[in-house]
Amino acid sequence: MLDRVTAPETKATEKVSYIEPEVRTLSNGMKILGFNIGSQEVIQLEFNFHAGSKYQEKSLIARYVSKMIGEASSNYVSGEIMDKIDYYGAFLQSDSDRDMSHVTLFTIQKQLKHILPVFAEALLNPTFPERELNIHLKNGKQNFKVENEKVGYRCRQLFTELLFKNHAYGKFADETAYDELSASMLIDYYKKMYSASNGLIVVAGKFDDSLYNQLEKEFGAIPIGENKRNSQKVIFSKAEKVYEEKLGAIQSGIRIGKVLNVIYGSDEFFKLQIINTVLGGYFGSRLMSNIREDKGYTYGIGSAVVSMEDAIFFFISAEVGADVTNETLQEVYFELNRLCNDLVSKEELVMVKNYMLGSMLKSSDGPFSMADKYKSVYFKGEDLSFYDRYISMINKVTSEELITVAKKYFNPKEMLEVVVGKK
Amino acid sequence: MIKFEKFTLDNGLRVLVHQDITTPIVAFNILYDVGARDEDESRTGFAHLFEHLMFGGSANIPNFDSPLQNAGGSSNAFTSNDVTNYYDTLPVQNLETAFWLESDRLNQLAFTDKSLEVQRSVVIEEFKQNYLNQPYGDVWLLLRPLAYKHHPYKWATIGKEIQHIEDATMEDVKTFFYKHYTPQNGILCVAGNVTVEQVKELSQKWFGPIKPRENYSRELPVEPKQTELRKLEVERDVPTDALYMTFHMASRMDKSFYLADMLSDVLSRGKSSRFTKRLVLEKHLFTELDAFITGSSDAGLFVVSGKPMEGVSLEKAYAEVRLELEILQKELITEYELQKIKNKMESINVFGEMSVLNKAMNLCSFELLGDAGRINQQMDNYVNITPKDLQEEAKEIFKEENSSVLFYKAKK
Repeated sequence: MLDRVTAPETKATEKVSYIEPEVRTLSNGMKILGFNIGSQEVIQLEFNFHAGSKYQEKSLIARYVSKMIGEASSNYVSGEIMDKIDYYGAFLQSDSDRDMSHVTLFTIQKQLKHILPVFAEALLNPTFPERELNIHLKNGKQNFKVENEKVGYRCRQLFTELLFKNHAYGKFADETAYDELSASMLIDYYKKMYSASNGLIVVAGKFDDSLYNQLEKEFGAIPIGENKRNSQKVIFSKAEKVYEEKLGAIQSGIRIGKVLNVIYGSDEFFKLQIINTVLGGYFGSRLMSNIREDKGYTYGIGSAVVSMEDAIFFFISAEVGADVTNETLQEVYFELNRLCNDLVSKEELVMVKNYMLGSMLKSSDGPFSMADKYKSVYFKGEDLSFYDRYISMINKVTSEELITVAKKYFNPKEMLEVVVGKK
Repeated sequence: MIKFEKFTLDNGLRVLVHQDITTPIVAFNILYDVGARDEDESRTGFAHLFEHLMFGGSANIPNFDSPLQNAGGSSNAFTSNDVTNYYDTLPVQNLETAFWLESDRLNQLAFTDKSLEVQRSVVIEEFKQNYLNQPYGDVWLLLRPLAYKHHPYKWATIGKEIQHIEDATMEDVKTFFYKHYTPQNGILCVAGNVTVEQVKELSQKWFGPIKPRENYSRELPVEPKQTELRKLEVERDVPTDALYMTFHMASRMDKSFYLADMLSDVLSRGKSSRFTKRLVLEKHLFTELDAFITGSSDAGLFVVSGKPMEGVSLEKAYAEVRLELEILQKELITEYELQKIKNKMESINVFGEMSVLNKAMNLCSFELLGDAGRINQQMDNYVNITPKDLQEEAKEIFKEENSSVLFYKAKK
């Protein structure tokens, strides 16, 4: 008779292989990290610039510069570049976050030689036509109005504004910002920020060495420029509770958190990641178990420790039934207090450790993921030893060490709380 | 090319194995041939509610997720109108944990009152979060019953109304389980650094002892041909108007399915597609405009959805979309445009093979359609399509009497 009660034996993940990239440099000094590790015939070619929204003088500039890449260029009229990219089955993706702007090409290997010159033209000679810009801005404004109606979106924005009151991280575009942008602002920003000294190329997938020569040929002409990277320290203002009522809301958005004064890659940093996982970092976390799986107040609740260049912050977020908003808040604080007052049981800690190691294995699987993992530490001044230290901390950390760090950083009284909806 | 092997256990469970030695992660995907279309009209949302209950513990294992997390894995599932699909990914050395967990919940669920009570609330919150408390969230709750009058596709997976979920009883849960969760109704795929022998042995060990249950044969009403244009206008508290149109199209197994799929690509795949290029960027009548197909097993829908630019009326927006559809009926698309779509499809196909989980899911879906081997013939269905074929299809499906139109108006 088959024993269905006893779990089969399992083995913890002992090792995750992280791969060092090949490092090359273009004649203009622009650095390339190459991850030639794929088994599929695909390539991801990503240009990263220190040109995120924290550097802009006016809202939306960083976002619309990256968005308009591929729109038109000196040699191609509007629509022509996108037509070619579509024709060769490639994908152009551009986005901009607080710290960085990225322009990425995804292509299958056999089309690379056709698409590379088009991509280079798009990136090196964009023209930012006024007419297209205005269309994108009008569309953006309408989307903004739609997003702003969502309690989740509104809550996130308000929380971020309050968390980073005295820093560019806390600045958001309002509706009028969409009327105030001009093509010349984008051109200036592009010229200043999209330079070889201010950027990094990351290429991942399956390719041969000749790719580096092609990159030199197509992108060696990116102007040298200067490194614009800088940091401005975040000063966390104060813990407060803010409630914004939204008439007719049947759910409330909740966000609770704070800035963490911890050094990226330090022992305490890794311990915070582990505590966060216990609290709200996976499906079996305490917040999910209590607030969703026991009480049924929400479809989902979670927490995260987010690392940006100028700040590391922690937040809990959920959308919950309006009628149980207060009950949810009470349970969230109950869980934060528990984290600071009671030791994590041995059993729970083992589960969290195993889960974290397994998920590190998964999140570094494949060339694109590997490149992402490398990049995320690279821009914060770390190398792959970061992951060795992380894994060794997961393996050795004790409940006693975790509670010390929890007490230091997760004091419920120090949290900023934002609720948008109805309570 | 995705290589795989297939075998069937005595109890009817179909098992697919795909070997990929390049990854330390194994994907365990199990699809059950049950979706919202199998629900009773007075108890909708049940297949999806049931998916939640499948995580509430089984006869011998009180909690599904803890042991999986202990093995370094994670899990999730989704329900559509056609199927319910469960998937686990974990480090390959712990594959057996997935077999243990998944076979126990197919063998017998725990059926606890607590789990039913909690998951009812969770699903109701999901209903609110995604369908009621979002601008435009209720669109599919309106569109489905407009387009379908008989076929159970007339209700959304989440259900017709919250009341149906509130009313679900333990009795309903048990009946549903024994009717639909049978070995014969399941398709399993294991993808990763595994051998066929290994998967055979584990399947036999864990799923082999489960007795087959009564066969369920699906008899669904066929949606009669639509003969006149249907219109619905609603007013909601949203920032801007929106336009939705649906057209009946072929079922997944029909040859013309691929034609409709390709037409949707001509209209809105990529920034150089007709909708984006002409109606968004050139004429600037829409801020966004999409065309897509529902891709369902039974006869599905070709959908157009868009938000007109401020100051553009829904009537004008509708007329402009009609114009584009009529161009497809009157003029052949160019060879260049056709080649562009085919190239894009080829790329998507290759990118889709990057993750073992993706491959496992696709293999199961194709097996459900009759043969997992179709996964490698997908491009063949498109390669020989000509501009003339597309024109004929456009003439057929874009008839106005084959469409339903929803004017979703912003309250002023």
